[in-house]
Amino acid sequence: MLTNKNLFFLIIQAQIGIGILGLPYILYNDVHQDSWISFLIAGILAQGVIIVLVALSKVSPKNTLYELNLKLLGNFFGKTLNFMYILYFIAVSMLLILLVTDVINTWILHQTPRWAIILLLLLASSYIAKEHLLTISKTFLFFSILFIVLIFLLILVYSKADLTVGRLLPIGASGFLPILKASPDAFVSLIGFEFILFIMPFLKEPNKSLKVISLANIFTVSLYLFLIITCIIYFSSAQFSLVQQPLLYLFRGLSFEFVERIDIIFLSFWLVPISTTLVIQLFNASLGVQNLFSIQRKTSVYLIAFLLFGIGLFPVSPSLKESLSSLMTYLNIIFVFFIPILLLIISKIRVKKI
Amino acid sequence: MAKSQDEFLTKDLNQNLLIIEEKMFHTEDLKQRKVIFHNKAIILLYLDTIIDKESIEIHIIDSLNKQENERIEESISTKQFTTLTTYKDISYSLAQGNTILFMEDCNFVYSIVTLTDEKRAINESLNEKVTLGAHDSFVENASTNISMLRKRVRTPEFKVEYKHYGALTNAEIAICYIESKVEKDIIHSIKNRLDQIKEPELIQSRQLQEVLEDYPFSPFPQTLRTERPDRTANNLLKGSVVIFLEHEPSALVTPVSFYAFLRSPEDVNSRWFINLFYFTLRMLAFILSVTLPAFYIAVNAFHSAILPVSTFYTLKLSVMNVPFHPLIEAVIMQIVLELLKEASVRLPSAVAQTIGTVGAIVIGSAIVQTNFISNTMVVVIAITAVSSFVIPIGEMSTSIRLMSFPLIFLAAIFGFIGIVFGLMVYLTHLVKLTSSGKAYVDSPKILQSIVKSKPKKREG
Repeated sequence: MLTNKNLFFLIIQAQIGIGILGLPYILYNDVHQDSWISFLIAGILAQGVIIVLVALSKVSPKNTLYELNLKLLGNFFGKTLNFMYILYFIAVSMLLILLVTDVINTWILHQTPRWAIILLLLLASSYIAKEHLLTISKTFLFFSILFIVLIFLLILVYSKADLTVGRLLPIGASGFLPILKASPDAFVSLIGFEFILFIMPFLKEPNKSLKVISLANIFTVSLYLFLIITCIIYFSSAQFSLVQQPLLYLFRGLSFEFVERIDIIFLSFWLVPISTTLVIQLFNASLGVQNLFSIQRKTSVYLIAFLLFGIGLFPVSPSLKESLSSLMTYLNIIFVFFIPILLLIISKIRVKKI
Repeated sequence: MAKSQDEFLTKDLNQNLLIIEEKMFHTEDLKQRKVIFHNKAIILLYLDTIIDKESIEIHIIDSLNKQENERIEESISTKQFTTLTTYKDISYSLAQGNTILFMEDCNFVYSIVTLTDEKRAINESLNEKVTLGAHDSFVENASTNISMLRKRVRTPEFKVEYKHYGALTNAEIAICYIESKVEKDIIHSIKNRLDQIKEPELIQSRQLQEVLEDYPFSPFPQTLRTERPDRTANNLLKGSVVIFLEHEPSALVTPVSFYAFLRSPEDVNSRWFINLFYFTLRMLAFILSVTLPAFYIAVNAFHSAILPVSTFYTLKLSVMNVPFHPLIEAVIMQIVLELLKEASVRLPSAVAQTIGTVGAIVIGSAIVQTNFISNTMVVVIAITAVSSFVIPIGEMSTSIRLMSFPLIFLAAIFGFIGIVFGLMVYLTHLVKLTSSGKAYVDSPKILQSIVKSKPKKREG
């Protein structure tokens, strides 16, 4: 049974991952110094979605979303939707793997073949994902030390470089609509709280889940906000258009008596929060496979990992990756936002009928 | 129980003796003494090799010869005895070091405890030394060991249960716990697990450990094997169960947390900030001994960019003339180190000093001068070894030192990323482990424990 503490760390680890490396760059290119406003809007939006998701999972707190779908939509439609969810999680994992291998190949290991990195990533992630949820959450608690390291390093950035707070001004210059338009990009990087749909039956205090997840969301949003603001006042706009991973460039500027290039060490360790996101996707997908095909969850984790490895062997052109990325943005919003709302409405109607 | 007729003793003394000799396979240390007691022939039967001759002379033969009492029970009332009626029981009782007293025209016998009480004196612990605190350590006798615990924990709630396992060795196990502290489920599951011992040759603690551990294939020990009574008593008071195996000079403590392996009784006995310091030091030692060689290899082979220019040149100068990949260097040095350690443990202490010299001078400096291994690698491996020796429990120390090998290989292939993923798997494995159903690694509560042991301010 998961305590509130366990839930909190599960959610923040699900939310924070690879997005943190590139998000400031993406937002800055759209709305410049108003990135943080876009992000704040996305955070509020996420909070709204969390309320919907928790309401949906409270429709029947003893069931996961997969079981709930079968109940609400009947056998055929329920199973179809479940299958789509599984595909969605596999697609999310795939995109994540593609992005990670890209970052690793550009920053750390320039010549290591992609399949080797994917293999390593999948081995480690599926080793964690096959465990019980409680074990997963406890490991995540230990991994969360890295967030403290991140915050510490961000604070160090303030001590070293010459920062220009004036770069934040003028506020709101991009106009309201562009700011609003940029927020879906930001929203995608906050995704991860949909995990609650699948772990509600394992919670010790399901009633407090909304509070805990909101708290986790607030933590994530403030961490991102801190990062985005730091990036804005650190880089000039000319620099910003060049740095695809602004976070790493922030740390590249740091140097100490005995270590330079903190960015390499940081990125290596940051692979842990990134793989935790993958672990959660694997968990979600394997839960679905378990439900749909009645295979043991452990086996289904390995099956999915094997499948992902197989897909990962195919070469991917940058343009394909780009289009896949933007497609995923929409898919994310559909699967995390629209379908749950639809399901919630259906459940309300059904309950009235009964 | 329906036993066949000939398994019970008959009234015929000679036939009884013959059958017993048969049952004992005519072993030649089975001795007989004949005594006449109120005109009745009495035969004493015992295994010469494990009984206490003096106690037979004084407590049995002398008191029988005095012929003061009519009844045998009263004549030998100074010693513990039981009555037995079957041949099987008698033969087992003989093997345990009891003396069997046969009487004419009697279809039962007395079994008198006469086991010799030879034991080693209580010495200072060899493997878990401390500078501050008690110096006694367990011996090869369970009752002496339990007495050491009882002297520390003088409460009626201290409970001991004896069990016998192993068809051949018939080894005695003592399960000790404090009734009010221990959780009922835990003691229940431990007993259940012990009942699963199927091996007839139960003789070592390791066999107990295998049954008691939830994950016997894990490289990390989940039961604490210690030879220190103070450490054992501390764990006992925290609600752990202590298991003694007769003739093993150590106690098995379970459930136990991972952190217990990083602590020495000395820490708890010290001021709170010394306590904290040593705990931090040992945590550092743990992390260093697992990751340092791997980290060095990763930096050397992949990520020299993270070093500032001056350090970079120092490193590269040291590595320049070495013909091997850092991985090979590290593996060679680790193996040499293990060889040296193993050699010095096995040899008598006078010769072991030679090994120290050989290790330090011949291998340490010569291997660098011949450019087989770089200076920096020697330093790295030495620090790793010293850190692993800081871990107070030998079992854990070795485990941890060996755990650095997979990381070394991962680092040689993937650099930092390999280390990170390796550590991720290690951590998950550690978190997954349970010791008698309790979490092995929990979120560290070290701060709370230190704060608790902090002296309270006196009011006024």
